[in-house]
Amino acid sequence: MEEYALNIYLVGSPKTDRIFEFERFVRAGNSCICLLTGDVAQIPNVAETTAGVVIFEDGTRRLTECIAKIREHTRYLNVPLVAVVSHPEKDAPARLLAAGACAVCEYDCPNELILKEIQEHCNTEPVLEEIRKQLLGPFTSAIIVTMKVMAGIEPVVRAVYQKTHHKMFGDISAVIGLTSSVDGAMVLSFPGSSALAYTQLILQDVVDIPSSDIIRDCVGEIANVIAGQARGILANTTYQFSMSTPTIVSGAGHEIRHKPGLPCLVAVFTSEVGDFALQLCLGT
Amino acid sequence: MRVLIVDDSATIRMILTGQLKKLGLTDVIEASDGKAAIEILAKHEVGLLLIDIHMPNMDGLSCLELIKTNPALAGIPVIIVSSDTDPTQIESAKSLGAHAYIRKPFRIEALRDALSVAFPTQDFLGKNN
Repeated sequence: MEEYALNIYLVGSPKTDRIFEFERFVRAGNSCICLLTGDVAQIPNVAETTAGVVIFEDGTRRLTECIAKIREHTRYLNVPLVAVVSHPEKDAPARLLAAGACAVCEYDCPNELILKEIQEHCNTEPVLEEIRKQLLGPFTSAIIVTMKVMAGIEPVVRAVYQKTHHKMFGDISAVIGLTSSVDGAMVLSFPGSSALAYTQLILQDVVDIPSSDIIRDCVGEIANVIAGQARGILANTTYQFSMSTPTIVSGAGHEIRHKPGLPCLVAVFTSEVGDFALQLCLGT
Repeated sequence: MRVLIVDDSATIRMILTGQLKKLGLTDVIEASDGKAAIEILAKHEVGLLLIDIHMPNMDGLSCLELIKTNPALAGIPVIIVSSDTDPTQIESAKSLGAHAYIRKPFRIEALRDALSVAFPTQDFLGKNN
């Protein structure tokens, strides 16, 4: 999935006039399709074909829950999510950004500003076919082989895009430094439930309920093995690299920063036990 | 026969312990790096070593070299278990005296094959695993 269709979801109470005002603006000046819903339960439909989500809310408490729920359903997909808030408390923007919003606007801000936030955060850069084949391909093969042998699961690629921000929306990530002519990194991020499920599969004959330390170690070892496999495939190519031992970063909504100027590719994988994402920054 | 697993990943140590058990090798001790392995070898009798290459404190190849240059330890069969696919590393391991090289990720069959190389006359369990 390299591009998103221009659909913008508007979420909030239908009795809020501000939604209709923004809807009229979007419909008049753009080719966007606006879907109005006040029901968070309809949000699972927000997926690969969505350019962005704008949430209008009077109070930030429900908004935080709503953002978290949308992020749960769009996990790892680069869907911009803008929160429009009236009378925000002092710490509200930070809380909403931590929950997964990419921008927070005030109720009386211009409609142009809200749309600009969506457009700026929207993924518009497809991954070049050459990079996809030569760089992402070997890592994808390494992931499929590793998961098949270690966990008995064959994950499939759900989406590929070029990243425009640092957030991974994962709960636990393994970071491996990759050194070629320039330094880069491979990051493997899991939601907590996926990390647990994969660890249980990998250690099914050894551990019933893995501790958080074991899960962290297992995620690190999965990443280590994947990077080692990919290194072998990419040896003697323009993407050949040496690698560091894995470092684990955890916490909901954590950020993995990468070197500016390097293309940062994301491949989202899915399987019957859950999603996970590969983030790859590697120069030639 | 006592087996010493040397790997900084607890996950790999647990996977190997489980697979060794299925192959009939239940006496297993562990070390998380080469330095700890050398300390264990000074105190315990070991019949087989499974060693990772990339580890903190002392890497697998340095550990292997120390073992093979120590007359008291040189006869212990060593199997390398690593995600490193670099042919020069594999060659170095073999020239230092490793009996076999298992590439991660691995299935139990790969471990059984490596054990058969290290102990050609011994029959291991789990043929049908």
